[in-house]
Amino acid sequence: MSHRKPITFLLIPLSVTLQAIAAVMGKFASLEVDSRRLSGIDAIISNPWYLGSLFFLGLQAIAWQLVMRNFPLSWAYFFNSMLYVLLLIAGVTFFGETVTAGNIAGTFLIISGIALMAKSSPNAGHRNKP
Amino acid sequence: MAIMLAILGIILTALAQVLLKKGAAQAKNRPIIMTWFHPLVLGGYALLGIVTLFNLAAFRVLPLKTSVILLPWTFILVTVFSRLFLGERMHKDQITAALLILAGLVIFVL
Repeated sequence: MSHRKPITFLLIPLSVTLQAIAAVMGKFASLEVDSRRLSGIDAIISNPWYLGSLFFLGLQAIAWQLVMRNFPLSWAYFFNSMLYVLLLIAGVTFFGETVTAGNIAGTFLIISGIALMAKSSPNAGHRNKP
Repeated sequence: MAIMLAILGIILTALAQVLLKKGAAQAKNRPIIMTWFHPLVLGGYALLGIVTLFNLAAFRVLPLKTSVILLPWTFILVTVFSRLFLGERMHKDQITAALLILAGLVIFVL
């Protein structure tokens, strides 16, 4: 932990943000493309929102593998669960979804469960060293 | 139908995570490029690519916030699949955590 470069601490929030952007772009793509039709495959692979979603997932994959290489899995999984909060905010902001008190309470309970699961993982204290 | 596609996507995501986990473990003492190009890692990301197509169909109907009750299942399934495919032991805390997540899911949908 002590030899880690400060910039590596940005990897987890970066990874979570990239994943949230990909999810939002994927939702925009799903609203534009009629994926129920087989003939829609051309429309899918040429849809800018879908391509954008794949691009950000690709960037997230690069960041996530670096996270797994540099941080204990417990850290990585716990902070990755912050994605749920971002998705709730994105749902309201971009798609006019409603969020109830139950949604918020449930989300924090889910994050608590993930924190406990990550902490109790057999590899919780390990990280993949280069 | 949409929810079935989303659930199938979650199962495939959990399988992909197991591949990524196994790939990352096997690549740790190898050159950094293998972090991304280990065959298991590539297989994991290919599976995640397929999941994007399932999600495209599912989230046409489902609200984005449904992700919050779908994605946590990957943690539960990864734990179960790690037990089945990687031989990792399940601890009491992991079962408690799974119950906490399930309680959160119930409260979320109430």
